[in-house]
Amino acid sequence: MTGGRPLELDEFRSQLATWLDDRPALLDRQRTCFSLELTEVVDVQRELQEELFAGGWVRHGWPEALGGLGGDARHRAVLYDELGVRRVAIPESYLTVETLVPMLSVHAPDLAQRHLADLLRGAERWCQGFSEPDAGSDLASLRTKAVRDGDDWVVDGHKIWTSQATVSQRCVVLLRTGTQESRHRGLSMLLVDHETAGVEVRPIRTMSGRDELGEVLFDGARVPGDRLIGEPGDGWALAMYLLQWERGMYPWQRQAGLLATLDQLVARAGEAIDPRALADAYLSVLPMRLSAGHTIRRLAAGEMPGPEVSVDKVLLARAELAVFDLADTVLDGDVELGDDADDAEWRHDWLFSRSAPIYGGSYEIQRQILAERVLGLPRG
Amino acid sequence: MADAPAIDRDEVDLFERSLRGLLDQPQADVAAALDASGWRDFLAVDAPSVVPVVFHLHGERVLASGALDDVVFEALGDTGVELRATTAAFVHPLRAADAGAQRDGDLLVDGVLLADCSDATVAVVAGARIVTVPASALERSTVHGIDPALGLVRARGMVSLAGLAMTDDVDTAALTHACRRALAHELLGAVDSMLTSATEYAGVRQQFGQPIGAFQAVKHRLADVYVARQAADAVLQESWRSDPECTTLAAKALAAHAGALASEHCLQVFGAIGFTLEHDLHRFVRRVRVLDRLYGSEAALRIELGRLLQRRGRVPRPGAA
Repeated sequence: MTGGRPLELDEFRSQLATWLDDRPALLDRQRTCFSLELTEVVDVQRELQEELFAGGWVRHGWPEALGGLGGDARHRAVLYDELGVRRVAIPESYLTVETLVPMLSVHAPDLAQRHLADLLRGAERWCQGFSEPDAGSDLASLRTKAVRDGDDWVVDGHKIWTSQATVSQRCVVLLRTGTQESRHRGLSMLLVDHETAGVEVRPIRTMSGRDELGEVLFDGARVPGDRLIGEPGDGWALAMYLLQWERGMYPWQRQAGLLATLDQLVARAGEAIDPRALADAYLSVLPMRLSAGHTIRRLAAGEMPGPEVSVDKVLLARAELAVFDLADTVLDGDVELGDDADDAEWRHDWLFSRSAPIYGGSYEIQRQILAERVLGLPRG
Repeated sequence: MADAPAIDRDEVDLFERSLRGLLDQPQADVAAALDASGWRDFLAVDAPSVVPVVFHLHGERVLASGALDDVVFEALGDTGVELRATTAAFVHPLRAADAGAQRDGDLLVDGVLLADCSDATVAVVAGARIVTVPASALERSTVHGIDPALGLVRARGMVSLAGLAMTDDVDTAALTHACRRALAHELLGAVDSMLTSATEYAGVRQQFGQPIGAFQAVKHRLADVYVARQAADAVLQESWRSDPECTTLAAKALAAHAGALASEHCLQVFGAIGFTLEHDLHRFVRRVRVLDRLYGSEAALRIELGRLLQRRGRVPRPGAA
């Protein structure tokens, strides 16, 4: 499958399905890799990533110029869907690949070209350094700063609640290169290696029981000039560009996982599930699937969907809560009281689902964006 | 994937503009406007393009017409053409079940006609068959109810099947799907009108020295209505393309949910004026309640959908990337 044209979508789907179904042992290890240690999970997931890379499956959907096999975001969406149907979790690192790489491929193609293969194979993982202790919903007030020194940038500051920080080798950091008063106009974006002197990554204990989050501290960390993404002052525009992809692809990835969870609950409890409750949970996911699919098709066609993609994030927050609340009902006490390995996984997943209305732009902020920028209500 | 539309986007736009123009005439008659617009002809060649336009418009302007009968005849294909020659109207169900049921040689009927038709023959779905019944054999009464402006007529009764004409087995499920889809479009039309007018009002109504739409509590209510209508619309669009058994159930349930949410939140945004008959809001609140009942209420459809998911074992995944 090297060289030549990318497979057409339908062909891609059917060949991928066959390939996956020929590898029951590989898929089974993915289904049973749950651990409260994130490092253990990503190690097992790396096995799948290497195979998907060697088979050419994850190279579909990325431009040939970057080392992909061509095609577009729809190919990637098909891959995530096919994994979900088989109840295989999407490797954690593809969550950030989908957020960061589309932006890089447009605004820093050299960096994208250099790292894409390693990111897809799982040889390295990146995280996204946006939030700070005093800049959550009000992201434009962030204070981590970079000052030019010769060809380099010197970075000082503090990023926090960064997903996968502890298992990543690099971080895409949104930081200030202008004055504090310049708000969103004075922001830039740098790719920073965690092994750089002056960079420290610390895990943050979370209620899910797994260190999903970390903080990244910068103390005079020197970053080469070629790690600047776009131009100085482009940071806010890059972040907004990237968020459109995050709004489309992350909900798509999660719908694959959530529908797999519903399959699991139906298989487990069958007729014993209250049909109304099952339908409620399904109806929280289905519109998100269709809406995110629509967003992805628009992005793949080169359109910029704009603020209405906040709908996908609102739907995601509700869907996560609804599906895992249904799981909690079906499991009838296992989440709260069970102590075997299965219970631990459900407990982790239920607890983690509680963070959905917070991460990636809070439920409140998304609805404010819709009210002001789509409906046109006055800014308050 | 659906076939390419039979009529192009420009033609659909032209159809919509002309229908709106006809309805804008003083004392416009909805049935006459539909006839003049060529609605039935367009329906015959390209239902997916014109049903959304016509039913959204019904919801948007709280119109009443016989367009749902047209949709039923159309959904039945050749059988529909034959039926149209002998029957004037359909008895539409008020529940997720059919309007008709066969029992011991009798036909039990309970549903609504879109308008009275005392001397005509009406059609009733019972399982896979459609039975034609003289309207005079049914007990008919005008429905005043919560929305008298809709002019529905309740039709009930028990009629001996002996001597009644009946079709062969036909795809009556397609008929139900078509009606749920049309009603979902109508519900979203009503939602859009409520949302537009409440958003406008929130931008001009001043309290505490600022427009009430500047308050986050008001913003969130209206954003929630928008999210609900977008969610319903995403599923409704897909219902024209794939797995109609699942997607039309889901679309109508979600559209009814959007209707209920819009009624609640928009009334709250309007405050007291919205509760009075000086304001139009009550017409939408009423209409949404009745549309919810036809072909299964939101609550009934959710239960039916849940059972469908259990039967299938694996939850449906319509709308591949």
